[in-house]
Order: sequence, then structure tokens, then C-alpha cells
Amino acid sequence: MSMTESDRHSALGDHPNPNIERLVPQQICRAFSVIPYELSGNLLSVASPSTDNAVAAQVLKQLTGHDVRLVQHDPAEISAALDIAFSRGPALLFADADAGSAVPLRTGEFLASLGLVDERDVEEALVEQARTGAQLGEILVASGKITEDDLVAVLAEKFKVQRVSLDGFNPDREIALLLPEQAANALRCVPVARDGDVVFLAVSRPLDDHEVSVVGRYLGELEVRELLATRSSIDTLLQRVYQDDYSQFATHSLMELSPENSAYIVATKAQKTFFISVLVAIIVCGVIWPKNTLIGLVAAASVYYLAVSLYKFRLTFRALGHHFETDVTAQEVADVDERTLPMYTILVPLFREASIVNRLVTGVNGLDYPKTKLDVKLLCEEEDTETIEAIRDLGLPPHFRLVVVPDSNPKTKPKACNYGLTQAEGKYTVIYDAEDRPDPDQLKKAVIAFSKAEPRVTCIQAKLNYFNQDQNLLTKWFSSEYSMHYDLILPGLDGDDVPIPLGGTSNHFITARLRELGAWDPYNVTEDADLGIRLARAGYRTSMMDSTTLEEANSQLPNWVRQRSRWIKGYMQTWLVHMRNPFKTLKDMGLKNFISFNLLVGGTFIFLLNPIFWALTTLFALTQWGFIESLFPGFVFYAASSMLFIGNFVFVYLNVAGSMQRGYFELTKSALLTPLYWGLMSWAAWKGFIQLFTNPFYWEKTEHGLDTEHTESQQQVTS
Amino acid sequence: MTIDTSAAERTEEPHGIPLPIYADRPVQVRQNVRPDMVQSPQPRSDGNHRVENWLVFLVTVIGYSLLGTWVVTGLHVVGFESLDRMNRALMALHNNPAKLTAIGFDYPPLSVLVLTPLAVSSDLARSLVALPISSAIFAGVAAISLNSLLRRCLIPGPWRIAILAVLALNPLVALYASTGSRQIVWVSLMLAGVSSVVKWFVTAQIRYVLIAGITFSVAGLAGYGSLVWAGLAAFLIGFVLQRHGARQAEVEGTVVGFASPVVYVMALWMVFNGLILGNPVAWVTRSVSGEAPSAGLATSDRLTEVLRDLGEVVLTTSPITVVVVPLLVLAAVRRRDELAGWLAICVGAAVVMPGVAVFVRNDGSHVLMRDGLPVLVLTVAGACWLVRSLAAGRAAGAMLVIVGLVASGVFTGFEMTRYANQNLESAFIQGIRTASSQEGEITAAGQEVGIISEQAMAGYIRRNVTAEGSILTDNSQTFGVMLLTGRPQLFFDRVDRGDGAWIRAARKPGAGVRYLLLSRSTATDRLSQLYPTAATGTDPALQAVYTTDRYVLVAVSDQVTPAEGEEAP
Repeated sequence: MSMTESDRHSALGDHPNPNIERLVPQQICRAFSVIPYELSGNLLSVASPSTDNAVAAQVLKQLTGHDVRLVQHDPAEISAALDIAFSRGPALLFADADAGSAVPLRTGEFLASLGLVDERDVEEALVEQARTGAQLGEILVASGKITEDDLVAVLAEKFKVQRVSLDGFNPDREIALLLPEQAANALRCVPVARDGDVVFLAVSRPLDDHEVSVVGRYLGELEVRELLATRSSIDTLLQRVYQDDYSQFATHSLMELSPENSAYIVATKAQKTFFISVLVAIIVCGVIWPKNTLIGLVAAASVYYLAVSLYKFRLTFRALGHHFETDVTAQEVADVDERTLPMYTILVPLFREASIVNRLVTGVNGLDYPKTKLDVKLLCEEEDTETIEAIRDLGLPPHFRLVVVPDSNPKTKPKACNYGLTQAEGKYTVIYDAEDRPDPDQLKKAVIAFSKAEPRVTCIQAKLNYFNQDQNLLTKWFSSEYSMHYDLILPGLDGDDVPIPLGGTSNHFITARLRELGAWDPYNVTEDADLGIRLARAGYRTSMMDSTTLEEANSQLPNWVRQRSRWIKGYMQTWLVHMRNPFKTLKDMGLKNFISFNLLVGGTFIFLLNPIFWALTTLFALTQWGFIESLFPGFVFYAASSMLFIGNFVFVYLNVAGSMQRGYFELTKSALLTPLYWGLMSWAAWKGFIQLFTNPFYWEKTEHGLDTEHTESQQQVTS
Repeated sequence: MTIDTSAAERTEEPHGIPLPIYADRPVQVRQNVRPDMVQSPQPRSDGNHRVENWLVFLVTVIGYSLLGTWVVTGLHVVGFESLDRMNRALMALHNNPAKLTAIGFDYPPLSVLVLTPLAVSSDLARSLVALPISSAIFAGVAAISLNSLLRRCLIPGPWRIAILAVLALNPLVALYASTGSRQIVWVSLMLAGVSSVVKWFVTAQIRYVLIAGITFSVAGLAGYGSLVWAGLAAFLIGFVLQRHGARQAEVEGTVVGFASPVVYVMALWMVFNGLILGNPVAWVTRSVSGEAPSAGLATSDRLTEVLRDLGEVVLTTSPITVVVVPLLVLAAVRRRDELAGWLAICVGAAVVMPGVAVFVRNDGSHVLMRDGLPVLVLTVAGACWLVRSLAAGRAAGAMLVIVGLVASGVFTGFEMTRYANQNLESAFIQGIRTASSQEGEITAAGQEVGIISEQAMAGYIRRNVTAEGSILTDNSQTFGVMLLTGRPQLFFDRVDRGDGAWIRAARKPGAGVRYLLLSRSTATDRLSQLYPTAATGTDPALQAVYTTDRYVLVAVSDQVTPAEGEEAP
């Protein structure tokens, strides 16, 4: 409840209390010509020229959380008190609110006077400004209250700067390149024309003195004249100007920085020689000692299979009994001072996904993070005009940036992400798929988790799961598998401090380090897993956090097989890349990590072995053929038997455990049928394996939006 | 929310029930829905507890291993069943060819499988030191489970250790924990399962349901009786969740999650039984069917006898049960304490089940002292659960438990020397008391103690026989000798190529083997039944090359034929 009082009090500042005076940011105090001076219980007394300023009372109440009593004072007295109060040094609270605020509240008043916003809009924006420290105009644009054009018009009027429209404008490249890409991107400005010694610089807001000096460093004696343009049009122009550079980075950064880690060739000559030699040796031995050779192969496969299974079991069982994820409590999230939050880049690669753009926008807007600190890059392939048009038609606020990736090979998600990363403004960067539904507080949790983590933590992986797990048996299996993977195996890896092959989305990076590492490998079809390994090799660490992103589980078998074959092919690619020089990898990672990598990523090959062993078991069960029995002597037999009778069930059960751990109790029954799912995985594995030779860089595109019918029917049932 | 563990106070439900639900970890551990749950202090499972558990484990293992080694190898107090299982483990690894079927179907499979790691070294196996080590390891597991359960019952550290120590020194426990018995295997696993269920009940954390499910499934393979407790646990989980308003999907999912490993291992075992024995439920019928006809007692008389046996066994092995169970029932009824009721039922099941088996078997056998082992252990668990509800007097409660256990142990030790329905209990006590070998002594049940006969025959074979598969023998009777040679590959036994091939060889031994190793008793040895005169050392065609009190090794000539009219059973 707000209170007003007509009492007129004596002079302010007789007994100044800085902590109370600065409960409210200076600009708001000055805007309303008010100053708090006493707090009694929950009642805040505020000096004001008028006691019936309901808007001011409401804003102050929202800002401070106290009931507000307006007490009439002389405006001059208030002004003097304000001068004194805010000349004492940094404010104790809202210290950053005024910093860099080029546009005082008058912008709001101006917009209101033009009828573009009403008082309520301004009031809400002021509250948001006090909370986040962002600029008022940007808040109004981000919330959709005004357009970018409106804001530019007001700024132009206010600063008496000329406006310019950059739509369809193609600058002289030589002029545009007067400013290096890094500076142009950081300052968000582009030289667009030159007239003798005068360079016209398109800017999204008037540059401050420091920024002007930075520009001056590059332009030398040339005189700079600023032209105001919308932020998105400058972004678009920057993309056009630096397209080739971005494209070069996106495709070749890793190849140039660290060619030995790039999957642009599947296997090196040395690897090919090695594998062919091994193959020849096996064939020769097979001819000379056929049975013993087969026994040796079966023994090696059984031992490897057993080792992989034991390792995964150990990881999952440990994770069942421990909580390895970085804990971020709801209270910590609630306590975050949003003004201290950094800019966050969200990369969303899209390809032929026009139908879910709306859902994506809704999802991103649902994130609990100041919009003005979001840098959402919607990454579209140039040829995908449908999605590009769909995004343009939405007229999205400027924290959404459409980034059109020029047509070039390879056409992969990592290349698109690299392209987006070139323009990323955030201190942190995360990838989401278009259909993702991250927990609303995930970005804040990631920021807090980074602040808690040890310095070498470069990536924080959130958990993934599915929102349509009950659509059909396939999605149930898929969800059980993901529950085990993200709720048990990855936390287990985190607990062991060994490399984590990253999941496809919701991996939060420190942007600078991501660039330093050469970003994603555009030639690797599981670039995420590969990046996780490269992080470890570089001495960095990935950590897990307890926040979940829900995705769409593949509900159609052909689509699922395509996706899974890509994943398995990518894991094989990754293994081959990092085993080009095993000794170097061992030296980089250390023995523990090296073993873990070989068991986990290298363990992918066991999907190829499964059908062989299943066939042998079935054949033996049906025929009791002695030859098969002779392939499993002594310990080989026990290793294989324990895998058959114990290992298989253990993995089925871990799927059950994962589902229960996640709270998906409905999935426990279907999880018991996962051996059938393994059959599908082996099918996909062989497809991926063959493709590794025939079409290694081909990106099997996963079709999304297949849950629509199911979701609608669910909604109907609910309604 | 981080839990403060400094003041572990019990919280009360509105109706005064001791609230069993605590959380011992910060948030984000998956928990079952428990609407009445209040996050209350609970000891954390931190590094100190791990160290404590390891210490408890190591002390138990080392203590029982040393005791057992002395008892088995020094005092010669070792059960033939243990020798048989160890021999099967040895055969599973060192026979030629090595076959998993060596574990057989006479025992629950895990009771043999757990010995196989210790049989990797045949010297360790034949030295018999592996036997005490194996049971000591499982005793260690039991000690950890019990320690953990006591911690959940909020019993302070020193009292926990005291309870464990008193229980460990109970002579019945010491006998079975140190001499390689299979009872300790399944009792320890069953206790681990019960402990996990209690932990789930206390914390509502899903992982304990999963661990309990796995543990009970393994326990089921070590002792089929464990399945009864698994069933009881499944019922408890479903009942508690239902009572506390969980969704149907959660109730079903949790029970399925718990029960699936148990169902799986049983299904797998039934498949094996079906494939190999032609009867999927052979494991059930074999364990309850009698091998000898009854002594002609009427059903009511048998029932009376069994009930008397049960009463005596409970009183001699776990007299505190008669106090603890009624208190558990009282707590269940008066305070609606579900776990107290469940523990009372568990103890009741432990008491009744051996009686049911004896009654159904109807072969003149009795409920034995060893059947009191699970009763004792579960009673201790129940007693500690009761102590937990004593908000202000847990130390006094723990003291009472200790006093009860001390008295019980002394009484049991005394009864072990004289009670008739026993195995090696009297020999064990006598051996400990006199520190002298019990070789040749007769137990209170009339059984002769010792393995000198097996050792002598094994020694001869090791010195004189080297050819693999050259000694035909019925391994179900001569396992002791086989084990003590450490070379099962020397023997052509019934596992090597199956019973069919073995019987053919037995009927025409001259064609393939050089010796027959016979038990001198023709009652159960198939080979001795075929060659009864050879078994007594009087067959001129089968000349005895070495003889002991229990065995005879005969050389095979080409003209050997089975005794007239004798058929392999």
C-alpha cells in the first residue's frame, strides 16, 4: 500500500542517511524529483514536490519493496538534497544504473509525448531499468513497446544526429573496411560513405568519447560524422561487409588453428596404413590359424565389450549415489543482481524449420534473463529462404538477430554456429536447437555456476530430455536413454573429472575460450562431442549443472535412424581424430582421461559388434553348433556370458534407473524393453559406419516438429 | 536447501507418529512423492562415514579370515557343503573344458559363483583358506549394511560399533561368518536389501529402491528364501507410496523399478533350469522335495514337531526376538509406523520359512540352529529401528540392545554345545575352547568332523597322477578329494561331458580312464554303486592303489565291467 501525506516537513539533509537516500537510482529520483529520507519499519518516507504523484509512488514502491509515503517538500530543496546525496561517491545500491546511461528518462517522456508509449509503459521500463541497468530505449524496444525505428528517430531528435536507412544499401567495401571487423562489431558501427576527409559512420547510438577515440585510432585524421541507424540494420550491414571473413572463420578456423584436430580428413595416412596392416594381419592369421584367429578376435571383442560396460556401469552407479552437478539453488537465482549479468549469446541454428520459428521465439522470450542482455542469433542457411522469410515476417525485436550463413560447403550445423560465433557479443554463449525448451532460469543458473566453478571450467552442460516422451514407444526408449545419459553417465564423468562429450545443445561456453579453441569443427558431424574432448585436451573442463532443456524426441523410425547414424558416425570421426596421434592425446589428456575417452567415445564401436554376438548366440541356441562353442574358451566364455546375462540386464536396468531418477516413472515399463532399442541402435551404427567411408561429412538432417499432432491431441485431452 | 546435520532431531507427524522421512542431502536428489515429508536433519553420507564403513569392513574381514583360517585349517572344522561349493568353483575355472555348468543346480548359483574369484588360484582354493576369506568378505558386507542401517536409526557412533562388535562375537555368527558357509552370503545380501529399503523409507530417495532391487535380486540367487523378503519389500514400497498419496504411475513405476531385477534373475534361472533340467521350476521342487520318506508321522504331529523346532531354534539362537517382535508390532499398531510393522513381518518370515521348508520336505529333517541366523540379524535391525523412535533415550536403548545381544550370545554359545539340530556348532565351540583339532570328533548331531581322509587321498593323487581326465569319479561324492588336489582336470567327472558320457565311461572305464575314485559308501556314490566290491577294496579286477577311511582309488583294467545287475541310478 502506498501512502501520501500532505505534511510539509522541514529541511531535508539535516540528518542525511545515504543508505536510504540511495535506495532509488539517481535518474529516477531526478525524473520524479523525489528523494527518500527515512525508513521506518516498512514505510519509506520520500520527499516530493507533490503528494499526489501516484506514478512516482508506484515506481518507488516497486523499486524498493517498501510502502511509500510521499511528503511534500520544496522542489529546490529536493534538488539540492539530490545533488548532495549523489555527489558523495558511488551509490551503495543500483551503482551501475546510471553508468553509461546516455539516455535519461526524458527519452521516455519524449516517447510518451509522441504517443508511442504511455505512462504505464514508461513506468514498467523504469522498473526494468532499475533492475537490469539497461538503457530505457532498448528496454522499450526489446519489450516490443516501440520499434527500432521509433527509438532511432527519438535519439536522432535528441542528439540532433541525422538518421539513415541502410535497407538494401551496399557500401563501398573499401570504405567499410576502414574500420577493422573487431572494432566495428564491438562498437556496432560501419563506415558507410566518405566525402573527402569526412567519413560517415552508421551507428546504432551516439558514440561516447572513449568510443570516438577508438574509432579515431583507425581512421586517423579523417573526420567522423555519425549517422543513426537501427541496430539490426547495422548488424545486417556488418554481415554483408564481413561475410567472407566470417565464412572463412566458420569453415577454416579449426583447420588453420589446429589442423590435426579437424575432421576434414577421416583418417590420416598413418591411420590408414595402420588399419590396413591390422586387417591384412588378421586375414593372414585367419588363413594360417583360422580358429585361433577367430578366438582371438572374439576374445578381444569380449574383453573390450566388458571393459566398456563395466566403465559405464561404474559411472552410472556412482552417479546414482552422488550429486556431481554444480548446485545452483532457487534462492541463488532469485538473489541475482540482474545489473551484473553479462551479455549472453544464444546461437540457434535453423534449417528448414520455418514452422517452429514462432515456438522458438516464445521459448527464448520465456527465459528469465534481461532481454537487453540477450544476443540471440538465429542462424539460417542462405538457401533456406522459407525460414529466413518467416523470421523476417515476425519483425522480431533487436535481441533476435537473423544471421544468414552464406552458401558454402560443408553445410553443417557447426559451420553455422561458427558463423554465428563470429558475431557473438556475449561473455557466454549457448546453443539451443529450434525446438528446445530450456528451463527458464537456465541462463542465470549457468552464470552462477560459472562464478562458482573452478577457473578451468569452460563449458557447463545442462541436461537434456524430451517433452514428448510419451508419444510412442520410440520416444519412450529415447527418453529413457537420455535420462540415463544426462542424469547418470555425464554427471558420473563430471564426478570423475574426465572429458565429457558434449550434448548437442544447451552447452554454455565462455565465448572467448570457445574462439580460442577454434570453435566447432565444421567437418565433424558430432562437433559437440568433439569439442568436449578438445576442451579436455586443452586443459579445460566441462561441468554439469542441474538444469534441463526439453527437446523433441524423434518419433519416427527413419528419422531416428538418420539422426542416430549421424551421431554414431560423428563419435567414430571424433575417435579417429583424437587417435591420430594417440601418444600426443595421452600426453595432452593424461592416462585417466585417455582411458575414459577410449571407453566412452571409442565404445561406440560396440554397437557394431552387437549384431554379431547376438547372431552367434541365437545360432548356438538353435543349433548347439560346437564350432561356436569352441570360439569361447575359458575366460572368453565367462566374459561373454557375464555380458550376455548380467551386462545386458544391467544396462536395461540403468535405463529404468535413469527414468526413475528423472521422475519419469511412466517410462520404467518401456525401459525394460530397451534391448529392442539396442537393435535399432546397431542398425543406425552400421549405417553410420558405412557412411563414414562413403559420405563422411554428410549431415543427416533431423526433421523436427513431428510431435505437433501428438501435442495437440494432448492439449485437447487436457482441455 | 542445505541440511544442517548438527542437530539430528526427530520430527513428529501431527498425529504423533515418529516421522520416518528425512533427507540427508541437499535438494535435487530424486525423491518419491511424500506429501507428509518434512525435510529434517539426517546424518550425511560424507567422507567420514565412508572411512568408518571401510574400517568396519576391513576389521570384520580380517578378523573372520584369521579366525576362519585357524578353525578350518587348524581345527579342521569345515562343512562338506562348503568343500563342495569350493570344488564347483574350482571346476568352473580349471576343469578341462571349463564349464559354467559346474556350479550345478544343487545350490543357489551365487553361493558357488561368489567363490570363483577365490578359485582363480587353485593353490588358494585347495589350501581351504579361500573359504574363510569368502565368508568373511560377506560378513564384512553385512557389517557395513548393518552399520549403515544403525546410522539411519540415529544410533550414535560408539554404540553402533558396540552393537556390531557384540553381534560379531556371537558364536553362531562367528561360526558361519568364518568357515565359508553359504548362509552368510545370502544373509548379508538380504540384510543389504533390507538396509536399502530402510534408507529409502527414511530418505525417500529413489536410488535406494534401485539398490534394494539389485541387492534382493542378487540375494535371490544366493538363497531362494530371499525372494520372500523381496516380495515383502515390494509390498512395503507400494503400500507406503499409496498411503502417502503418490500418483498411480509413480507407485507402479517404483515397484516395477524395484521388482524388475528380481524378476529378471528368477526368469533367467528358470530358463536355465528349463533348458538344462527340463523343468523351469526345478530349483523350487529340488529345494523343497524330500529325499527320504517321512518317519510316518501324521501331519499334525509333523506340524507340532516343526513348531517345537522353530521355537527352540529362536530361543537358542535369538532369544531377544521374543521381546523385539511384539514391540515392533506395538509400534506398528499404536503409532502407525509402517516400517516397524514391515520389520516385524520380516522377522516373522525368517522364523517361519525354515519350518515351512522342513514341513513340506517331510524327510525327517529338522530346523537347524543355522536357520536362526537371519532371525537374529533381522531382530537386531528391528531393535535398532525401535531405538530410533526413542527421541531422548537412544543411548539407553542402544545399551539395552547390547545387553540383550551379550546375553543372547552367551546363551547361544552354551546351547551350541548341546542342541541336537545342528551342523558343526559343537565342534566349533569345542575347538575354540580347547584350541585343538577336532579331527575325528563327533558333533552333538552325531556327525564326524574332519577332512584328513580327503587330504590323504588328494595328496596321493597329486604325487602320482598327472594325466588329465584319467580318474573317473562321481564328483558329487568325492568333491573333497578333488578340491584338495587343486587339479580338477585330472578327473573325468559328471560335469566334464555331461551325465550321459560319464555313465557310458563308468560302464566301460577301461576304454578311457586309468583310475576310479570311489567313495567307500555305496549309498550315494553312483560309481560305488556300479562297483560295490571295488568300493570296499575287494574287487580283484579293480585293484586298490590307495585307500583311506572314506575313499578308495582303484586302477582300471581292460576287462572291468559293472557288478551284475547294477545300473547307474
